[in-house]
Amino acid sequence: MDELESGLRDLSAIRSMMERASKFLSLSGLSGVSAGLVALAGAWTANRAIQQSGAHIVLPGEHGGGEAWLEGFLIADAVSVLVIALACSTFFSVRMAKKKGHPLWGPTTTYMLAALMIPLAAGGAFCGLLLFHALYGLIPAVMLVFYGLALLNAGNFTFSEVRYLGMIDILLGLTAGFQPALGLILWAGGFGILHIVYGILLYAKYEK
Amino acid sequence: MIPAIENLNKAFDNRIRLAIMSVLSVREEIDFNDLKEMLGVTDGNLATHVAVLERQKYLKVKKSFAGRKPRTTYTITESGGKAFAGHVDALEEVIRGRRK
Repeated sequence: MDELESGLRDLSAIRSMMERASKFLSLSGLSGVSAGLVALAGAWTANRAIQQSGAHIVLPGEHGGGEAWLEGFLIADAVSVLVIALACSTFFSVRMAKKKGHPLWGPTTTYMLAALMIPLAAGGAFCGLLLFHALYGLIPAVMLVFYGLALLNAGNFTFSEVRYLGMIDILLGLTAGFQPALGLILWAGGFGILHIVYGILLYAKYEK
Repeated sequence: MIPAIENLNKAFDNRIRLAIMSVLSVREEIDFNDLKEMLGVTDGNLATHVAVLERQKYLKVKKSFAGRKPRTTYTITESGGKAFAGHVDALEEVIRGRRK
């Protein structure tokens, strides 16, 4: 056999083995699309509730006004979005693993989830602190920044494109921090639109 | 004769050994069953190739117990890492030389 060809073949075999051994490759693009749709629905619900209660976006040190039920409603909304989005993305990734014949639960799954969940849990706790201090206006910013950091980290253990999504989310989060009035819109952009766009791109690249 | 071809490591001219080294180069350690599944080879086949690499001191074998079951894990050695990196470099050289 021609040395050029066998050399190229060996290098690509090495590369694909290294990837399979270190990366979680069953992350489905449809996971992103479904999570994005759920996030958009959640943002729409939150926006309606805020308008109905007559509250305005709260900057640090201000009193937000609005009715007492709003805080509880928004927390319930956010938690539902998280749970439903996680359920959908798990469903599509499990489906993809089955289709590609990857093991459902391997060490790479653990690496990826640990890299994702630790910054995410820290972000969740930090949002709890903001709630405690009634700094509602900063919550979308903090969610975006911590989620971006989580993706940046998890991108080392799955498709590396995920890292760019993380960086964009961090930038959106910082913008939301400067402009809390745009918080919900930027949140819908980062968690909704970007997930959908990214999901479609990943799907086209790896699952077609 | 292109000199780079002589730099290719004979221990890695087998695809399974090459795959084993690729996996070990990115993982702290891996156990026998995970490695077998990843490579899609039989027990005997994997054991043979691992033995070759162990003899060359390119990997270390660690035997332990997970509960009652014996568990065999592999880690790459320093010289194994160097040999593998050298082999990849040589492959690139060959390709570069051929493309001219």
